[in-house]
Amino acid sequence: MKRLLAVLYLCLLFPTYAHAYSDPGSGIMLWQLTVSFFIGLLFYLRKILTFFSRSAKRDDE
Amino acid sequence: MTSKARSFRDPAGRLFFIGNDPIRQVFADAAAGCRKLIGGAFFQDLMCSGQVVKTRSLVSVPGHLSGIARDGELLLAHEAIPFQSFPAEWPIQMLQAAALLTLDIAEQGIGSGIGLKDATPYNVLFDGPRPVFVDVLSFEERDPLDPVWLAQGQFMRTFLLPLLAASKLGVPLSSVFLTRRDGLEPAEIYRMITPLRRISAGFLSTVSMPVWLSGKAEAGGQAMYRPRRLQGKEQASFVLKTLIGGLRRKTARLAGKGSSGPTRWSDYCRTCSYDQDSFQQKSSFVDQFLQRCKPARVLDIGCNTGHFSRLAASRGAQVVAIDQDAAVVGTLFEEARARKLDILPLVVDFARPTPATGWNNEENPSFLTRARGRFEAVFMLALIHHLVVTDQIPLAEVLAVAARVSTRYLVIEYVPPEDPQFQRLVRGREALYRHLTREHFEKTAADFFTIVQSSQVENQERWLYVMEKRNVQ
Repeated sequence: MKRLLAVLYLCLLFPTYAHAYSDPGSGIMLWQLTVSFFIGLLFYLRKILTFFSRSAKRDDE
Repeated sequence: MTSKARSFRDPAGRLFFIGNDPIRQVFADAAAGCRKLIGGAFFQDLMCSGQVVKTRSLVSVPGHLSGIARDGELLLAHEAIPFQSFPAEWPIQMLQAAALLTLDIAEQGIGSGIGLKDATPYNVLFDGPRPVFVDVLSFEERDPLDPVWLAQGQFMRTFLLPLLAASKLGVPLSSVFLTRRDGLEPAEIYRMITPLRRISAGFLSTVSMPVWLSGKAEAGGQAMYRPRRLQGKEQASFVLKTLIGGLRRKTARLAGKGSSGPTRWSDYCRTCSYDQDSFQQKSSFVDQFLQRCKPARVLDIGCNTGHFSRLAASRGAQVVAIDQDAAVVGTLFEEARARKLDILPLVVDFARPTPATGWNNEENPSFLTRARGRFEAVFMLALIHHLVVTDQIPLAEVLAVAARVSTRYLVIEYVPPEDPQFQRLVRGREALYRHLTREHFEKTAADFFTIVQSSQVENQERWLYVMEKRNVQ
């Protein structure tokens, strides 16, 4: 009996989780959105850099 | 001949086969969009370059589908790919080629306002060593302001993560694709690697970041999937192209290197018992058969480095070459692709051929279902002792299956129990195989085949045979 209780106690220590309705792909999606956000910023940064390099060229001329 | 749908997950249509010819039924809701896509320059260019399967719309409904097609629907006929194969049968290099094709098409579509709504290896088949995108219903119109490729997650699960697991951790692709429809989750790979590897360049952004963010993402719920629109087309296109470029770099980096190393079979040609003269003799025996009988389709079982597959392809045959060793199959694929040889190399263990998988066990037919009656010639060279000894398959069974797969010829090598390679496999169980004499071999073969030609290999007790099926006149 004692052994059985010990096993039951151990079972309570390690509950099993049901993942039936979880979204395992959500981590990929959030990481993709985060990366996209920074690439979006990079787009403006590139534009600014191009603008300055062009005006620097014009000054040289 | 069939009128049962083999592809049905897409709500926009279904795929049927009439004999070997694929016919796609596009439902009325999607018909107009699909007609526009197929007539457009983007799709026509992809067809011309061979990246997408040749497709034409049908004017009349084929007899077998007359009860299925309804008014307003579109029926498309696709060019048949000679032999269907699935990702569970591909070496790393083939999954990589399919991934790069998917990315190329996704990128080319950005400028034309067309995207891919899914990104899975099942959208790609191989015509010889050439990957062809076959799922025409994967294309959809995109909002040019949308910076998100929703199918990117699926691309990661079904292409990038299995490639990563196979090339860096030695996980066989067959074990991924035979047991799962949707590839690997980052968490599955995360559990396989050490804490130090989790922060290494190869795994950090592909595996660890998505795992670390998953809790937060789950808490955020469905809001994450709401449509997003940027201010300008140019910015959205920049974001997408940069993301796809990143995926391409990661995919290309995983070329079939890493854990593969020299395997039992990749150095077989150097260690096997053939000297140069007898190998030359074997080669000319097979070549004479090819020139005399001119088989149009050949199945090379246990192809190893693919010497005989190359020979058959050079004589104009369409070859499917199978071997259980992914390393040799991968090398043969690279060579066939570079030299444009009509060889489709697949990782298939003939003793345990790919089973039927998918819904109702009908989405992906088994290897033997696909192979049965497809090949005019079957090669079983230096193979029989592996099947009979290692896999313990009775000789009569081996020949019976060969007779079911071949429509006419079998080119087979008899390896006697005294042969050093046979002895290597026997490991002290000689008594079990003593009866496998040449007389016994010929007598067993006679139940299924007639011997057309035979020749003893120089300096050896091995014999080569060309056999013809009994019921073929």
